[in-house]
Amino acid sequence: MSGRRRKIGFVVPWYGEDIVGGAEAQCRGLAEELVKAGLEVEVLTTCARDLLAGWGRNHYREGVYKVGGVTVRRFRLRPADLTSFRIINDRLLAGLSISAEEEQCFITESVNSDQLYDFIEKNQANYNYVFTPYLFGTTYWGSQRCAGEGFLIPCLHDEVYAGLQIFRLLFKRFKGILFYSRPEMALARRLYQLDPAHLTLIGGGVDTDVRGNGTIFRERHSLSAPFILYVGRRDETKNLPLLIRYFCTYKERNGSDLKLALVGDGPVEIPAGLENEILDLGFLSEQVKHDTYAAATLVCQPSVKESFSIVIMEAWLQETPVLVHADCPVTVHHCLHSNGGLYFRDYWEFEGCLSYLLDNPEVRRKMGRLGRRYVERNCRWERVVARFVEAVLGPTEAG
Amino acid sequence: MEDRLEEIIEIRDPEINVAEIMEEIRRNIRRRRSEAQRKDVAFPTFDAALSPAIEPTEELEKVLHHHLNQASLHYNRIGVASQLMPRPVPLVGRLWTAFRREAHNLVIFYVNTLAARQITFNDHALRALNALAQMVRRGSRAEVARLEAELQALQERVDQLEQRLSPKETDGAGE
Repeated sequence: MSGRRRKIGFVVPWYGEDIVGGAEAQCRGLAEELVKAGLEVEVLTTCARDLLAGWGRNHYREGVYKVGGVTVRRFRLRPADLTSFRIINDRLLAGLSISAEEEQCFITESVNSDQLYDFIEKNQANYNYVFTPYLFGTTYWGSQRCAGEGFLIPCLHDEVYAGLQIFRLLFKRFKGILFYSRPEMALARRLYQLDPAHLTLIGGGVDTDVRGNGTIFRERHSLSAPFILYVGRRDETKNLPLLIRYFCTYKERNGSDLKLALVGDGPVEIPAGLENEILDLGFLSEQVKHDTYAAATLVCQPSVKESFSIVIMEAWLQETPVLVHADCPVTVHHCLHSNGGLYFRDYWEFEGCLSYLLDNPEVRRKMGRLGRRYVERNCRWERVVARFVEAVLGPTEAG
Repeated sequence: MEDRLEEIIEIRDPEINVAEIMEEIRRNIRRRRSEAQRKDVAFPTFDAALSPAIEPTEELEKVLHHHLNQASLHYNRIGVASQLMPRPVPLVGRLWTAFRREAHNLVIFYVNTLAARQITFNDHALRALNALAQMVRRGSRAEVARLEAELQALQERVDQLEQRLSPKETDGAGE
């Protein structure tokens, strides 16, 4: 295979030690694990900090860095018309249709770096390029410079962007496409009519050695009541407002001492009068986060747009069962294959599942243990790395 | 099977089966819902549909279905795109066009922000209308069923009375 002995070059819009987000964390974890496995890996990225900071200015200086043992090459951003981008993005998020010209404008004014694209083209012989995620200019324009040769880790879910014509064309451009979950792969096949021979399920990876201590968390917060834990971005795209609404209705109807704890960055609107019922824990360090998972009665992941969901894997590692939204094929798939969680489609199912888990502590604990076994068997990095290497470098290299 | 990398390893347990637990929870919800219906207690829906879930069988329902359907097709078609046409202005033409484009973009941004909010309202209003249409339909079906039962009871009563009368009529005819 022509790909052997080349470096693996991840092409991503941003990269850093403290970067948040599922796709970003998976890419960083994979790159670091590949280095540990003795492979030559580089990350090719822009000088942008992250999605929240945007691509209006260069946060980092261009150059070569070492981040977590991985070589990172940063290239200067191309100035973008952020107003035009925002107008089109707002139209899409509001459910409005956009024209072909607007699709072009959307991807042209996305995060881009001309120097990065020149580098990709000039150094094609030295790298196996792996682009991730599908949504940004770095993947769309970067993959054009090595057409037919690169690999894609799309981090795809059923969202408005996935239906754009530009992305229908993008998915046909790669030598191979790698997925974090089976439903994600099924969605890609359904949306883009892809050749199954080019698709590989690598699965997502997590550090399975982490241990949380729930007692430490409960003592620190003087908390003895049961609580639902939410971890993640605090916005509508993750369905947090729905969880808050359902939790408030549950409290009104059932009047229990149950609490809801929120972990993550950013502001959150807590309904008046429920300040003592909804605990805003803010951003937590890794160890404190694992202690919180261990202390939680259950973890709720209401998002319907997941391609893997690190959150539920982290919950299961601390033997905490999960409650997910029935409209998310990925998280429901994990629940059904692990027997580690339940799923709700509307308020009544939310209430039914919650009451069931609260009333059956032994079943709840057992579900948590089954979830842990699922993560240990499927999401160990060695397993993910082996699948990745086999897909990108070929079976001999993987062996 | 565990050695094959592409396989997802399922975790099975003799005591815990999530699909069965979900079926049990859903069975309980269905039971509570039908109990509530029998007692004439509302079982509110938090997630009503955007498209009309009624069959357009009667003339009035056809009209209702048509309008609900049209509303579900148009409720989010509000936003606007730039309609800027370049106008030749000597000397400062490019600067003037750039200024106009920025001004247009600014207006479009605010209009579409407003459109997004209006869509949120339309979304809720449409779901409420669809839920209401279903409730009205269920109510009218119950009323029709009640009237049909009453009609049948009356018909049976008429039949009984006719049966009682008919021997006398026969006797009379024979005289």
